[in-house]
Parts: sequence; structure tokens; C-alpha cells
Amino acid sequence: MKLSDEELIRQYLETQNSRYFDQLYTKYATKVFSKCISLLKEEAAAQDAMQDIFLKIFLNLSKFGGKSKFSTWVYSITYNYCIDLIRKKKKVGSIFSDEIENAPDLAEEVPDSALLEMEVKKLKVVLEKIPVGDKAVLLMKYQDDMSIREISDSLGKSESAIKMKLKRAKHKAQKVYEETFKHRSL
Amino acid sequence: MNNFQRLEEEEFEHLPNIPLGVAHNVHNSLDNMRTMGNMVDLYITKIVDVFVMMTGGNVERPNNGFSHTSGHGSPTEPDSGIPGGPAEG
Repeated sequence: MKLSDEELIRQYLETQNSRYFDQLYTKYATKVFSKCISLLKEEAAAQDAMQDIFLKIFLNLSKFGGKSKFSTWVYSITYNYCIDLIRKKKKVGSIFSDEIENAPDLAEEVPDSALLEMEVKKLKVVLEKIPVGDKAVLLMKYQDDMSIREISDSLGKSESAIKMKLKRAKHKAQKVYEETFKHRSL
Repeated sequence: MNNFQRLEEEEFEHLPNIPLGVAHNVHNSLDNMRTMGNMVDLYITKIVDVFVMMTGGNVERPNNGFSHTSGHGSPTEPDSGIPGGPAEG
């Protein structure tokens, strides 16, 4: 019988049986690894990150309150870990805050359809070219279907800051798309 | 499924093999931490006692609920001397 995530967590916390650990790990390993590679862009770094992320997940399993889906919680830890790692490597305070607070307001919002109608190959190129912080919020919103509230909770920012960040990320993505593909076809 | 999710699916297909050792390492680390935690739980009071004695203090343990002086062979509440509860008043 296939157990739900919540049931697996409960059983693991009660019994510490490696069977439940393995099931949870197997379920999320591919996704976590894929996100690590996508954000860190290095296989070796992604492998190390994955180990730390899963350790963090299992050490904090008892703190998972079930307010959000378990997958959302796992991805939040993954994004935060990778963003933190990139921040440390670049030796900058944050890859979010300054930009959010200092950037001028953008008048027009890029519609979701502008991003969602991009071809997959082109979208991949666009996501590679925009800053990692922007990429992370776009992936959280459109790939992992996280709500603004869930994104703001996981990144520790206010909902309005996240809305602004998303707005800017969409703008940047569209701009990169136009610069890369539009005038190529002219 | 939108294009972001299709991109993720495509990335899964080209994903390098997940190193087999990761799950094992995480599991081992958790086991080690659990063992360390148990050891600390077990020995922390003794370590504190040793530290207190080394600094010249006097270690006095409160009675753990069992009187060795009552002579009745039944548990007593600490400091009460009466089986089942402390003295009123």
C-alpha cells in the first residue's frame, strides 16, 4: 500500500525505520537534484547540496507542521539552501533584498501568458540568462505551483516584496526573450 | 502541464545519475547524530556533576521519589515521607 507523505513522516518519526526514510528520499531525490543542478549549474556542487538538503529535511522533519504540502516544504528548503550557497559564493548580502528595495517600480505587468507560451527550449535559454534569484521565484511560481504566500513564507520576505520580485522577474525574462529570439527572427 | 513543468520533465530525462551514496550518507549522519544525542542525554548530568566538582562545588541530587529511609518498601513523594503525596499544611 502506498502511504501519503504525512503518513510516511509520522511512521518515520515514530519508528525511525529506514524503510520510510527510503520511500521519502526516493520520492523527492530526483526533483531536489534537478533543482540543485538547475540553480547551481555544477553537478558536484549539486551532489553536495543534495546531501545537505536531505540531512536538513530529515533533521527538521518533526518541525513540518503540515501547513503546506510536504513537497512545498521540501522545495522551500532546496531553494533556500541553493540561494544561500550562491550568495556565499558571490559574497553578497542577499540576492534578493537590495534589488527589491531599490529598484524603481515598473508600470506594466507582463502577463503570465507571455511566459507560459514560450517554447520549452527558448524558456530554458531565458531562465539560464536571468539572475538566479529571478529564476528561483519563477520556478517556485510556475513550476512548483507555489502561491505568493508560500513563496513569501519560504523566502522570508513579505508578500508585496515577492509580488514585486515576480513582476521584475517576468519583465527580465520577457526582455531576455525579446533580445535573444525576437531580433534573431527579423 | 505548463511549459515550466515540461521543461522540468525534459531536465529529468537528461539528469545525471543521482549518486547512490547520498541516501546512505544522510542515513548514516542521522544515525550518528541520534547516537550522539542519546549519549549526551545519558551522560550530560554526570558531565555537569564532574564540572561542578572540579570548580569546587558540592553535588547534591534530590530524592528521585523513592525513599530509602522509610523502610516500608513503597515509593514516597520527595521530602514528604508519606507514601502517595506530600504532607498538607
